[in-house]
Amino acid sequence: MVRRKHRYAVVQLERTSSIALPYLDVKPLKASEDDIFKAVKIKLGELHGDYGRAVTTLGMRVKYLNEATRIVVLRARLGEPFKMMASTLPFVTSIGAESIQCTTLYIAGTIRHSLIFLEKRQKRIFKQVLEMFKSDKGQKKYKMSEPELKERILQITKLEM
Amino acid sequence: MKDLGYADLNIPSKPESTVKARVVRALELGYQTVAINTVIHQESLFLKKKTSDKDNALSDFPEPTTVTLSETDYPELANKGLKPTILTRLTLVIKDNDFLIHYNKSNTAKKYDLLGLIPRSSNALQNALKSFRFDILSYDPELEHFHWNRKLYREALEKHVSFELNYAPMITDREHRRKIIALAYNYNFVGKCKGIILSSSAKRPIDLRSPTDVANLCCILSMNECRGREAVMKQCANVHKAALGRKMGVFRVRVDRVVQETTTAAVSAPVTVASVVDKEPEERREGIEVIDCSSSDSSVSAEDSDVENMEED
Repeated sequence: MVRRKHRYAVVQLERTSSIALPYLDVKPLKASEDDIFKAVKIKLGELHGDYGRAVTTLGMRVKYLNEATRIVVLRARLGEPFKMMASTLPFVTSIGAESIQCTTLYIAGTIRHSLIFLEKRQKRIFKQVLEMFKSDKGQKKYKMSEPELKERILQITKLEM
Repeated sequence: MKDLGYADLNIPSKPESTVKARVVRALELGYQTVAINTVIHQESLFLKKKTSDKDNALSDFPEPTTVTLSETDYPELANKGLKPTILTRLTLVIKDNDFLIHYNKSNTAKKYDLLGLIPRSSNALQNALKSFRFDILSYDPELEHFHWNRKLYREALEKHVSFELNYAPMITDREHRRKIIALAYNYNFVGKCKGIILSSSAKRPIDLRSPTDVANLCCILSMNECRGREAVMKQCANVHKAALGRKMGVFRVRVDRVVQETTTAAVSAPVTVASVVDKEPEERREGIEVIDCSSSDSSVSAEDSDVENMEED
């Protein structure tokens, strides 16, 4: 039996309203796996026509979705289907009611490798975010009282609590 | 030659308030070099005969725009210990060869690093290729198509010119998308997509995309995967090389015999290179004059020895 090979694309969805600002974007996405799947399929139909849609939708699937960090892992069959899907990702500009932008972070051959990459990346970013919680004198102070912590979070993310 | 990494060679300078925001966003996405572009039409240059447009016309080319960056603006590159390179580029939209009068006079036009051209007809392109040397040949989606053939493409390639395709108009407008895909298909038929670079001409920071995404656009633009990846990295380095060679111009290399101090070994001493003009061996050269010192006299003068002309391409 011949093995069916796939490619997994790790994609981050960024909101266009928070691209140029230096604050962290903490609001979760209000979209499900179905919404993302439909948005990519519609763009495929516009760009590659009937052939594009027919060839790619056989093996295409959303394998992992994290709304808090806005990361999606998309799967497609190796070869033409994956090439067509990867070439339409820059053109996807809206999912549901929000306007977003896609950036591919990594292309893997198995799910395991894509999740290994994700783990390393999240650890690196977590360290960077922890550094924002330093006290004013520059020392690393992670045990803060509640009102101090609230103030610091508001400063970093500009949320309205 | 320093390694340029991923490069985006067209960031327009016109919405002046957002230039720094766009450059910072490009560096965040993974690019290492960026070129800021100023576009000038031939009709806006000042000619003494036409007195009707005196107020709108420019008397000289504008100064190149500069952007000052600190280390907090590019944290990912600073972690690896690299610095971004920011180049300046001038693009001219021409109909015929009259722009050369203004270009040869002004000194500010020669401060730019890269030079691009947008011809409005194939005649304009042929005339420009005969007497003028430039680096990038670009396309404006609001102008009309003109007819390409294999001979014209090959001529431009021989003069170290790269062809540019922009992807930001493809994202925003549907009519422009069709025109750019048709142009890329034409380039494939006429020249197998050799020497193509992909760049954005993004007027907002939202329109920029990461380099892996741009390389994946090769599927729509009828290119191989190899060419797609080259279009973002290797071919941009070639453009930079060609621009440096154009600025340096023709130079000479002189080969001398070194007379050693121990006189007994002098006769059998081999000829060595004594004085070489300061340059690295990989750069392209327009023409080389090598003065061949094949005579056995120890004192060599330029008039006596043979002169060999070598031309490399």
